[in-house]
Amino acid sequence: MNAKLLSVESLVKEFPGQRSFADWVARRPVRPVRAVDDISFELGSGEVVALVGESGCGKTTTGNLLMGLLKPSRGRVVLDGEEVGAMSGRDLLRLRRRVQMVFQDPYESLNPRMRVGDIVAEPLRVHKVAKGAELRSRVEAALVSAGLAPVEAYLRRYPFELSGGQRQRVVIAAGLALEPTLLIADEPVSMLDVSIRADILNLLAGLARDRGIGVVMITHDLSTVAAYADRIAVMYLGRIVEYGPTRDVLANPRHPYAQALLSVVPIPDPSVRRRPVILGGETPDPSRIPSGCRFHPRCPVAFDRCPTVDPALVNVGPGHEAACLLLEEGMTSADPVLS
Amino acid sequence: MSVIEATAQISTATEPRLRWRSFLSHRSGLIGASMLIVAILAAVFAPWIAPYDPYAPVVGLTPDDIFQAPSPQHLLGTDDGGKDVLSSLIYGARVSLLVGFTAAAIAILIGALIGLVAGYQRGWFGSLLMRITDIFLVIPDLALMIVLVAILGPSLRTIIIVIGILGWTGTARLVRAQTLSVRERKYVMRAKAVGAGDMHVLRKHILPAVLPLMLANMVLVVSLAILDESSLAFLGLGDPTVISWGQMLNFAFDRGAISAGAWWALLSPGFAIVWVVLGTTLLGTALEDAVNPRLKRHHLESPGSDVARVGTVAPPPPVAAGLEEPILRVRDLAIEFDSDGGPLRAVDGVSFDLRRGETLGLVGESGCGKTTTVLGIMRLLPPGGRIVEGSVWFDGDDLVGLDGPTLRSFRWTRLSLVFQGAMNALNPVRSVGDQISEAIRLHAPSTSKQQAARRAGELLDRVGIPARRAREYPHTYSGGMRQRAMIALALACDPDVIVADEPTTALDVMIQAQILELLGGIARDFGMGIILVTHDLGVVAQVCDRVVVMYGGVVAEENDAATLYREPQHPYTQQLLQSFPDVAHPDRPLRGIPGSPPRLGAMPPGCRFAPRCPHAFDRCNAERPPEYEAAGGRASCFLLDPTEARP
Repeated sequence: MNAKLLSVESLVKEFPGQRSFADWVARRPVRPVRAVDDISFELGSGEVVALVGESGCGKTTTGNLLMGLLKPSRGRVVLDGEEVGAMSGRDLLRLRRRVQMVFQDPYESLNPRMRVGDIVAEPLRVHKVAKGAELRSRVEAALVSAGLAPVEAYLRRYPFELSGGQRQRVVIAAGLALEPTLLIADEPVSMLDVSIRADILNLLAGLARDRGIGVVMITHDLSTVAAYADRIAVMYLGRIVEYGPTRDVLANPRHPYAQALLSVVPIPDPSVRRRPVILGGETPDPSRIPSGCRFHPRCPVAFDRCPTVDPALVNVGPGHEAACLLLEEGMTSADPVLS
Repeated sequence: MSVIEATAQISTATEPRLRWRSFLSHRSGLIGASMLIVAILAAVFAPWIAPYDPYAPVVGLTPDDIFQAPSPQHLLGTDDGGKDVLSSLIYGARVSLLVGFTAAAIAILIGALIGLVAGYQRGWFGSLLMRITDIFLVIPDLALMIVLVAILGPSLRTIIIVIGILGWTGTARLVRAQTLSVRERKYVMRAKAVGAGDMHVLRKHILPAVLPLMLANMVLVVSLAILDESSLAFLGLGDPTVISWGQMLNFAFDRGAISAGAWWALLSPGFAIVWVVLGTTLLGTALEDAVNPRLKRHHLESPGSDVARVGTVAPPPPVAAGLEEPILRVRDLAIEFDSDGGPLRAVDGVSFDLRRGETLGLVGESGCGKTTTVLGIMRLLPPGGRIVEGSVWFDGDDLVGLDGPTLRSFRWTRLSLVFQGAMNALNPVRSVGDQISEAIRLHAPSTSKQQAARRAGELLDRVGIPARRAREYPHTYSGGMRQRAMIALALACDPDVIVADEPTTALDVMIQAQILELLGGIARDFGMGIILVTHDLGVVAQVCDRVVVMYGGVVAEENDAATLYREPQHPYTQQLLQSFPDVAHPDRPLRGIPGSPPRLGAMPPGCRFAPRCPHAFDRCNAERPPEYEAAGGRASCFLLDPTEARP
């Protein structure tokens, strides 16, 4: 069950920066935008890992790198022993069969002119893996796996006849048609109604548990992954600042950013009184990453070394890592500093 | 969220595709189509219906035969050669329509190909094609056509080709724009992520989206081609061996029809040209409307009143002695939207109170009517929406009964609004400070410019924006700052109540926390009432004193926040809470609610939640439950009826 499926090793992605006329006149060098800055994590079959962070943290770029839609500037993405970034042409086409994506917006990601049956069959047709009766049976199997049964009720429908939750299931069914080993779900429920979200998340978690599909869930919302992810990677400005088993990260976050992020997630219980750590300002522009620890300008517990030293991830528990100088100093917990 | 969704539900599909029903209901389109069909029938059956053969040589021509006035033998008279004008007219339809359709086909083919390539292939080649299109667009068509036809010789084939290769620019631009927008759509990206090649994407996704537009465009290109041919022929550049309407005009002019007073020889071909061009234009316009219904905007054309309530309503009885009178009392509010299938009731009998200093959460899923309710309270319903029942008592005045000017003085000074999409609600070409000062001076004209500007600075400072940034434009602000600026704008006239519609949706959690803290602080400091419209039960739990849960246009449950979360009474509230993730209890399994929220046009007859409710029984499907008092609040569910002997 836990065979290593995906490993991400020191992944870096830089985009060429925009050069303004003023930059050109002043002969300033172009600043590259480093969207993903040296991140590593692993995923076994049947596991769910969540990349969590705010906009601009690089989580979506990471997803595109995993899909092979972008080439990494440095580092490697290895899927089933093969390097994704080095692939091209036929190999890349083969990779597409094993990695599928579930997009955020189920209203936009289905062609309004195609019937559900054709939408789910499209990947099979593109890859010419099945036709005729076999195509039909695989389409039906994918619809059933995505919870759209009886299939006869859906095959000939158009997307606009379906609800948001049903549409997202169609997207998932189209992803499952090729029997992938890895699903990348980019904010799979953020556009859905609250009462529908749990079902879609349960479906994704069930696919991991029952079929051994690895799932990378990309989201800004810690609460939606709390019950579903095996591990959480908290990202800030292109870097993973905390990584570990979900339970440990949620119960005992060690990085000040992870602590703050967790403290502001709304809890549906008015009787819980918390002291939220509300950070001032906003995430800086990824073309101007602060020196030293990139979080120091907003960090409530920053000290003199923070602007100069870029902290590495250190072990803070079994499989639990965080990148903060306070932890390197040998302090047992960052909590006393915060309160 | 919900007004847009409500209108999206009314016209479900917004993609360009041909809607036959919409087309068939378009009267001028049907007239145009009939006019065109008459012309086509005339062309096809010319040899059978024309009384004479205009190509047959005239034998025994006498001067009396020339320019003969209309008579029973020659219904439209004769021309300079003694030929029957009606027959020439009928045969002329063949040439005019042949040129029109074939030249248009050539133009459409070239235009579609260039548009598709230029739109899909965004590289230098695409840009080059578009620059070529631009050049062709500025060349005066007719002049170039005259030159080309004069050089190449006036044969029917030359004329068709020349009109065809000069008429494609409009189509190319249209197709390119559509291709550009479709290629950026998520479903195209999804197809590419699956591994689909360019040909697949073009064939399966782009072409089907472009074709309906091309069809509508085709009809208009046909009419242009017919006009071009007539102009060329009139100028003597038509094919001399065939009869076309332009040719008839040309001959009539050249050979003395005017001096002979033979109006029939001139008017008949002119009328035929107008007939066909008018027919194709009507048809084309109708097709465009049918392909893209947003062009029609029939809801906006007749805005009417946003209130259609009959008579006046008595104010609700005062609250029990010793309690503070609520600032806002909504009673039995019902709101309807126009749709093609008759009015749809988006809000049906909503009541609640808001006190000063209180934060009320209006919670529900998409389409539950929460946004429509607050827009109704503000009397800011979009066109096609109107209040049909109920009242909104604001400090003793019924807002539903107020006229425009009184209402305007109410809005903002007493009741203001924070929208969901802050960027769309701020004017992009005016500085943020200006917009706040304007709001202040609009409602307090005695304020000087300097005073207003100073106050704008203070307000921005209050919401956490440095006052010096007042001079900047909205686009320089980040998403969180824009929402802060919106709040400053809402505070500008020191209102009693602020309505915040999904103020933190689409913002990051940290920014959301900042905004919520700000709203909480404002409610405390200014003693304002706040209505927070949201779908997020976590946000409500964090900031609201009272909660109104809406479902399918009605209030499912209302209570103070602590009780509502501890002892939810309505099955919908109970299930909604069970489906909501809680980061504090990651081990609690989440259960979604089966089914989906009801659509506006298909509300269940009894309790709106009955089809999804695990406890529903017969009565729930037949009757609408009234509101029962429960746990100190109220909930509309038959399970709470004391006469129902149920667990």
